[in-house]
Amino acid sequence: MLANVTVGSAPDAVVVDAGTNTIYVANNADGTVSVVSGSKNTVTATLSAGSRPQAMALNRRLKRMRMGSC
Amino acid sequence: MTNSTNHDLCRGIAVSCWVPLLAFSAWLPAAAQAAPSLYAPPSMIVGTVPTGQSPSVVAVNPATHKVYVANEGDLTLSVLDGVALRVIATLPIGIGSHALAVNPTTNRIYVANLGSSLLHCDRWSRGPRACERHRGIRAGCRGR
Repeated sequence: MLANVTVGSAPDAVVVDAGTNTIYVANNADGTVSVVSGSKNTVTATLSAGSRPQAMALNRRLKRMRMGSC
Repeated sequence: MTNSTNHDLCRGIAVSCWVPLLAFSAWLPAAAQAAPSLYAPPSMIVGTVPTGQSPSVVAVNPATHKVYVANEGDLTLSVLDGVALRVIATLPIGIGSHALAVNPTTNRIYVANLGSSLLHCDRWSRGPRACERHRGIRAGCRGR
């Protein structure tokens, strides 16, 4: 195991953007998305994502993330 | 506890300890299936591989043909050879592994755990011995 990065509460979805080496984690209980740098292994931003984010889909071309809630 | 219960209900938890590898085109509308260049052949089970208990999520690295299965029941990650259809490694992970993702470019696997952590390792596909503990990589990252 290479690293353990603390994110929000109840992380329930992970999406990797291989192009930017960025990881997005949907924190279900917090209603946030943690943005993790794949090179630095650190959380670079925590974004509000509405109530109980459950799923994510990344559109790399449009640079948009779609969120799904439970 | 209520949040946790609702959380599990929302997700739905797989209880089988076997992972059938399927093609899902049979679930698509007939019109969608009429485009063979976009969709897989008709659904069929190509193999069944035993994993750990209560496999919950699966991720694939198309570059290495490795399949990763998080087993919530026994807190392990099964690493499968997607070509040979066999388990090549079983590794410990945390509680409540609800999501997996793979970066095929860097060959790193990310596991989201209920305990507010995101684990990753770039050598899991080579076996557990290569997945050694790394401590103090950076401030803010804890080795396990």
